Amino acid sequence: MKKTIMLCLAMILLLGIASGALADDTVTLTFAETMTSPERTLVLQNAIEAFEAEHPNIKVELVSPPYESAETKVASMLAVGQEVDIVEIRDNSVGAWINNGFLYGLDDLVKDWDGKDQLVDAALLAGASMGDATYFIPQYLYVKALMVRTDILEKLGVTEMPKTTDEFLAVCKQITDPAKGQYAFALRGIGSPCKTTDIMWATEVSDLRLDNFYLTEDGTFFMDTDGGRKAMKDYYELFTEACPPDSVNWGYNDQINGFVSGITPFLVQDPDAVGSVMGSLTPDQYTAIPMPVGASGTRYLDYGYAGLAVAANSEHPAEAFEFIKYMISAEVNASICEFYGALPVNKGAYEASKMFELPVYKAWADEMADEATVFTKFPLEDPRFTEYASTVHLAAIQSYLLGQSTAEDMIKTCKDFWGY
Amino acid sequence: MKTDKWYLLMILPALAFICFFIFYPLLQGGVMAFQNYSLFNLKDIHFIGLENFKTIINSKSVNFWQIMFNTLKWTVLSLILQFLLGFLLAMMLRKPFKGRSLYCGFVFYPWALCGFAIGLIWSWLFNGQFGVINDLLMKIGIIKENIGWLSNPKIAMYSVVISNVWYGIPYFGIMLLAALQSVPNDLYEAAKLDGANGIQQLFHVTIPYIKPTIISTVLLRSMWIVNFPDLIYAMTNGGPVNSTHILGTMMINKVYKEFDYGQGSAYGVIIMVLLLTYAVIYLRVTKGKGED
Repeated sequence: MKKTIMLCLAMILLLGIASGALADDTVTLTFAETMTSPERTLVLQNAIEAFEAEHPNIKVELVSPPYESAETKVASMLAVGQEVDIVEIRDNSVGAWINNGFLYGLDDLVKDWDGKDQLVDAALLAGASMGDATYFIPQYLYVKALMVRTDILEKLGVTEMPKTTDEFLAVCKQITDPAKGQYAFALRGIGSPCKTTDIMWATEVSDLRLDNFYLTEDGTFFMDTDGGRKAMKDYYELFTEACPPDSVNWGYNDQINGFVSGITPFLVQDPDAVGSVMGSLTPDQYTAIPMPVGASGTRYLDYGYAGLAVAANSEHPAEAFEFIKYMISAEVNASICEFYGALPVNKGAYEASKMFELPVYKAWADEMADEATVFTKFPLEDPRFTEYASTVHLAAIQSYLLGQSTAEDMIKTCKDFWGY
Repeated sequence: MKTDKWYLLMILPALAFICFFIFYPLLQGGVMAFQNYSLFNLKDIHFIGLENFKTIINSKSVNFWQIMFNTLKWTVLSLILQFLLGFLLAMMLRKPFKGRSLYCGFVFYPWALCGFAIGLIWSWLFNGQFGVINDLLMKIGIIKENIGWLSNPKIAMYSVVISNVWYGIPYFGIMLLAALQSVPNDLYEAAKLDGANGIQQLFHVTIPYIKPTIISTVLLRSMWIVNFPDLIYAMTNGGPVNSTHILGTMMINKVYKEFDYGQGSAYGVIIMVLLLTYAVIYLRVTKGKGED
């Protein structure tokens, strides 16, 4: 009798331990977002809830630092080894994070992942573009295209859309009439204008390197070439003859305003601009066309992105990757991209969402599929790039456009800065 | 003796709070200014002596002395205009009139706004293309062509100074009004008996009486103006061609755009040293004058 009781007790104990162990099986992941806004946090929370329902053994805790200081805050969390499993990364700072050893190399996990075929090519390129391994999976992409106000252009008698940079300059000059307040191009004056100008100029230069399009294959700085000089001359003409003089101080909001008001019916922007104009314009008033091609015959584009990565000191990289996979599955990816209007990385997302069936998004699909398009990238992993974009290039191009310095001065300033 | 200890104990929490939230960051910032401290390489933080300061001063892309000159221009112009107009406002509000409190509420309103919001409002007003200011001037017939208030390097600084003046007038208005109301009426009556006219009363009664307030408000305000890059940042980003960059905007750029905390802190240390020197000289020069 005593034995039976003992046995029973032992069994209960064992079961207790086992069930305890089972309960402990629940993994809690911490997810830090860096592009915080109340509406967006809500979208993420909904996605997390759905994920937890599908994966009862994984819990996800969302950390949402305020937008302005989010990146620095998450970086310091990672630096001091605070418990974070998944982080949102952005193209301009991910290089620093990789360099600091903050991120977990995902190669092994990506290798066995069937879903990667579902990603668009540019997303795969972006994911492999930084560091010696895959450190993140992009969530959405920013690719430049030429947005046009079809209604305004029609009124001004333009029916043929420009395909080359020369055609573009010509049509811009043709429709500009300052007396009537009509200009052509919404120039990007402040806030890293190099992200626009350099893409527009590069197409005049042949044989640019694909890992850093600031250099040609033979190591020449891209502005310091015949094509580069032509592009700069054209751009000066574009500014002085087809842009509002004030646009040298235009940031994103001014550009959008110029486009929506019709003062500047041409705009070079990322697809998230569609999200910004959608409320004010009807789909038949505007569209986007592929970026005009220059003398090289090549359309060099870069892929801006934001994505998800696993923290290097995460104790549950496999579960964290499971979450990332969920976040970029067709429907979740679509719902998150809809929020911004940026391009989803999942091919299925384009069918899962009505928004990406809008004709304006077709331009991006066409542009990316076009054989003249080549994806290259800014030297983002170079710590000096942020200084170049926010200070050096900004002052140089403003000075050039305002006639305070020559194209040669600008080439020299930029070249000397990089030491090319 | 016992009470001394008791006092000490009572102020300890406040002292600890101040040390932790003011002196520690100050010290840490000071230390960082001498370190290679960049978000790009947090694994390799080390002392580099005066290197950050050298880089800033010798920078080819941003002329340090231009930044210093801009800072001076921004501060002096803003301060003088804010003070004069604020003083005028206080003088006008001194005598009670119907609806004065409501009027005060309206004119003091800018002081309640945050710098970035003011920057956004004024950048729209000054917008060279769709801005209200150009539109009004055009309708009145003063100008025939749009003026690039923020896109012309020659006038951008004056445009941002105007916005700053708009923001700062209420501060002087409030402070000087309070001081003015404390000037005893007997003094004016005595001055009148002595045959002093309005202007003489202003210079011999009003100003001497409120001098201590003037001295302290001017000192505080000048420091705040130096440390007020928000407005410029929202309006011009320091441009065009660095014409509105001041030390404060460069510091923001270094930290939030370039992620270089070392050089950012170096700018911070430069601002601190300049302001300390200024405060010491200012207080020396005005010493004793407050009790005239």
